[in-house]
Amino acid sequence: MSGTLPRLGVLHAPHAAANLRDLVLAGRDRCEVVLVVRREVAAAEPDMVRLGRALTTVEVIGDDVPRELAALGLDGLVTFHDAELEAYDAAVRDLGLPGATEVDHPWDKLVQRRLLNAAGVSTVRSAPVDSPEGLVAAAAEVGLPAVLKPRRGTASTDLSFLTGPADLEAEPGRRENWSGLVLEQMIERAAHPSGRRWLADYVSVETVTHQGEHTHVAVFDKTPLAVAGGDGPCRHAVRETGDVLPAQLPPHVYEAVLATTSAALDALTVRDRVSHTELRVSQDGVEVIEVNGRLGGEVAGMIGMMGGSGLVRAAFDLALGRRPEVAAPTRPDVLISLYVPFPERSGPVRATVTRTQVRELPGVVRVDEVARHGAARADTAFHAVKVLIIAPDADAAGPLVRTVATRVARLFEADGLGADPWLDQLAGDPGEPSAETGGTTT
Amino acid sequence: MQDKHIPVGRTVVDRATAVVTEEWCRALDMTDPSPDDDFFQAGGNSLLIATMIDRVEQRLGILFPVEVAFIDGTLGAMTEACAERLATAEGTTA
Repeated sequence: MSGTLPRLGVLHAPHAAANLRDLVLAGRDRCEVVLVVRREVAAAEPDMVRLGRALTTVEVIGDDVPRELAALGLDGLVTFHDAELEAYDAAVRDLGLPGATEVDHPWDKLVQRRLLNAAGVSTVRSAPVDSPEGLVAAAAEVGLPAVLKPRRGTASTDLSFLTGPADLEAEPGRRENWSGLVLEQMIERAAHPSGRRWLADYVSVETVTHQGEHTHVAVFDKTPLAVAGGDGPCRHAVRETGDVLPAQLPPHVYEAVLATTSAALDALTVRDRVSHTELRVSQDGVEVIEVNGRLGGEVAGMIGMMGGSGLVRAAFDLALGRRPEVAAPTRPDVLISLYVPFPERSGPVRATVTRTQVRELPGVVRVDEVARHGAARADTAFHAVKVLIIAPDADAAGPLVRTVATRVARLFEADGLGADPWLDQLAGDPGEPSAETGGTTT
Repeated sequence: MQDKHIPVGRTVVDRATAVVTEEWCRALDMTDPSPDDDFFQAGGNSLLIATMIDRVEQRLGILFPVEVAFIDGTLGAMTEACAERLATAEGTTA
């Protein structure tokens, strides 16, 4: 790397929203990328460190994060990992680097909801919970139905949906972890405002904010959430199952989504960063689910494939105090990243399915992952397959997604995919031609 | 230690191409890749490429050109770079 390029630290760990290749490519001719890795992560991921060292500079740090980061002489700092957001916020504030928010802990879900409430952006009630007794008090304040979840992180695990008094009574017997929780009023579910039944009632927005000015680069629809069954701490683990670009929102809802996102980012005092905001949508309005202080997972690559600008590169520019080039996706077709879930999380993969079999499914342009026979289902984040699908237009996208999901379910019949209620949520719209049977949906 | 399964006498380009292509296909569970195919666009990730790099290094007895894999990412670029390293290691011309 040239000594004249600025040094950009990336607080990195596996499963970040940007991988090693994304980082290396975004930094080319722009900055010296310094991968900053915690000692315990480096010990657990020797391959990542070895490859990182072959490509760029890697610095392994211990527990005194602010002092060790200060010693690296960085011109900017960025992270794409949820677990590093708090350390990142503290460091950029201490070091006087771009990216700091004015408020403390804006990614703590309780703090965030209260900031959104105070700004008039959200009406969802919430209360802290740190014990079984505290849950009863919080439920009296928030009301039921409600969601009990950790205040930090976005792993969509350790969630409990408390729909009535029976759930409230049963929760102390089910839950092991009681520290750092928040009880939030459950946002009412609704149909997707387009009327397309295969789309979930929430969207995500990727936003580039430079000096407090927000540019919303893309809005993604989602395929329906799947909820893991069974007992234990993962019994209500929510699994996202797919992103759809572009979103199929009526203009008034689309405008409301963008306006609400801008208001939420203002409330959280976001000035220089890429962020990922999730919102519930209906014909009647928009409500913030949560704001993440980093790029969303998977979505940067999809935006790039559809002709939009590179958001990892934009995040680098922001971290270095530069105005990034931002361009929205331009391609007219519809890109879907579909992750077909296992209905049961525990145990090994029973079916034997090859990438070739998945690659041959209609509309599939890339196979990112296929769960291997005998491997733990956890190895693929509880997904049987993860694929990219391109549909020529919005009308063709639903039948195509349904066909791929149905055929994947057949391939993984030994793992019970065919009986997963999630498949029923991909129902066709009335009168829509069925790609699978040639008939029509009723 | 170089791979005993590669016939002696083949050019370094042939041997590098054979080994890299074979390990590419093994990593991505595919057949008949094109030189223009990009490892990551074909569904590869950091874990799969780390495994592929290990296997190619063991079979060819070279240090894999990691930067080519990550920055260019195509099969053609990887085979060409591996052939150059193999030629250097053996004191021949790729």
